[in-house]
Amino acid sequence: MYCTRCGVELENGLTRCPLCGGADLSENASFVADLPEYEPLPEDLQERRIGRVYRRILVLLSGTAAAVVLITDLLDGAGGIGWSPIAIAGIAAGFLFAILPTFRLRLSLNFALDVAVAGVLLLAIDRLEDGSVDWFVGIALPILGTMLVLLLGVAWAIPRVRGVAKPAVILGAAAVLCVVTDLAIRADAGQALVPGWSLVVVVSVGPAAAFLVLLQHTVLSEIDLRRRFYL
Amino acid sequence: MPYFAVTLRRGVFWHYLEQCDPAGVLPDRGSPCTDRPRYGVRRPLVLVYARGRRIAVEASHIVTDGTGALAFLRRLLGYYAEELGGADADRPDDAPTPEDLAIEEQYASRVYSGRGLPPPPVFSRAWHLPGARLPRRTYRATVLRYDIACVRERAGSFGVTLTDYVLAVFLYALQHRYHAAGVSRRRGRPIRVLVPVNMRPAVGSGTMRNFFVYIMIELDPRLGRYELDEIATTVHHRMRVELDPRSLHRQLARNVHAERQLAIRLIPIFFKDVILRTVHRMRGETVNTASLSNLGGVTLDPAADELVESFDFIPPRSPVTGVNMTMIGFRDTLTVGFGSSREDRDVETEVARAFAAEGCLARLRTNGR
Repeated sequence: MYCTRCGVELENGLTRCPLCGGADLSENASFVADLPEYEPLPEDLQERRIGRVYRRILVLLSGTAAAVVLITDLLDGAGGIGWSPIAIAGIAAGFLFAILPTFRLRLSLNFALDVAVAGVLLLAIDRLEDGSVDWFVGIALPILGTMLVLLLGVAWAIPRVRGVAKPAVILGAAAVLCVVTDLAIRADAGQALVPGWSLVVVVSVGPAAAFLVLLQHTVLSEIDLRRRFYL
Repeated sequence: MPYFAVTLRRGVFWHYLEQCDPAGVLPDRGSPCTDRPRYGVRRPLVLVYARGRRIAVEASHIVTDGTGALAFLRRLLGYYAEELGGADADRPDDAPTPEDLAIEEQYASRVYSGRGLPPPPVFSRAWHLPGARLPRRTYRATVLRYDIACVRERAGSFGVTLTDYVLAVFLYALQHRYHAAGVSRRRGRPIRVLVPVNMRPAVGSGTMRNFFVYIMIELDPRLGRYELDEIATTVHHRMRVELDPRSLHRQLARNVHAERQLAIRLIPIFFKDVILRTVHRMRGETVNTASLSNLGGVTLDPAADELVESFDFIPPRSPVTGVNMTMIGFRDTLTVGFGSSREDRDVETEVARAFAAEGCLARLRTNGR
């Protein structure tokens, strides 16, 4: 007997093809000319399926977590809603951070939206604390602005540099962010605009980044280590 | 052949082989290549199984390759035929001479590798079949037996060799799975099939230990769909380029140079294991989608030939590639074998359909249900 789906000859006594699972068997091989063409699925279908499942899982997890937080807040004996809005704002921000990459936006747009989400979260926390936006404007806004500029700069620079110069770019951006954070906190507290703890970061990170850039341009651009060690 | 009754031991700087007692003939439980060699278990790395009218030899790649295992099986069948015929099986001229053993101790790749050759090219990651895997310690063997004249006639119609043609059909089937999986151009990678090449004829060696290199045959489905005749032509020319002996010797050099480096030799085995496991994960089987091993046509002594109905060749289990393919010829039958650790049988089905569409129908044997 032959399987008319995959065209193999089966052992006697089988009623179903062990290869393709087809039950349409034929006693002769005349079906070969009628073997159907393959029907390929549309491109990206698998990715779209995975993205859809991932988004559903995220909605389920975030919704459940928010509900648990709200119920816990209501039942904790303080009477009414207390701390839960801040926690729910954090969960919502986490949900947005996780779901944004599934829409396959441009990297720079993704970064901008991530910073915007972080800004809204911090604004909400500041407002929920005492109804004002004092530290949000003084500290969070300059840090978020700097972060956005640095992220866009890193996204632009990373494809343009090679090898270990890539982590050097990231280290440099992290050092700049530390300096801005330090200065923003000092400005908000009314202190002199002189880097404090961030100077330690710059002193330690700066030489490391410089070493990586020099290593890339003096040694690694000449020698392929993978080939050197036969990997 | 005492060098087949060896077990794997762990030293301070290297693993090594130690002679042990033969395991005798073990019962064949129908799931080949699932009993991996383990440290501390004094069991040979080459095992003989039997079930009904079937004899199976299962060899670890630590000891030998397909050609060495086939030589072992042929010798075993020769002894078996002689015992059935009443002859004395323990012929003195069959025992390996001290010269034979000395060659095996030296390791052929070390003997024949040239110094100062540039390393072979480094490959990027290849596309791998998506989907669920079979549970541990299960392995599905599928065998398709074709009339060799039919396959040879189809190969001739494309102006390619039998191996080129079977490899082209395999790539064609993998290409269908690639497009059926709906892989986007951004996430797509080339389909690459690793083809081991026996180096014994190239240097005139008869070693029983591993002595092969490999070539990579690639198809990039991101560029569009290829028809079977296009793939066959590409494979044919690519194989001729890759099979150049000078190119093959570069791989021998690569295999040996790494272990000649003093810095690498001095690393304790614990760290070597960790490093090499990482390197293998990053640069090992991730660079090929599947493999195709061809053992060629098998001939036996007349006495043994009368006893044997067919030959099957099952590739070793791979945790990365999922499905690998083999081919072996015996009399007028070409046996195409698959070893799969995947739940679905899509690749095997696609290969069978592609051959059927070409007019070659197979007799199917499988341990899967």
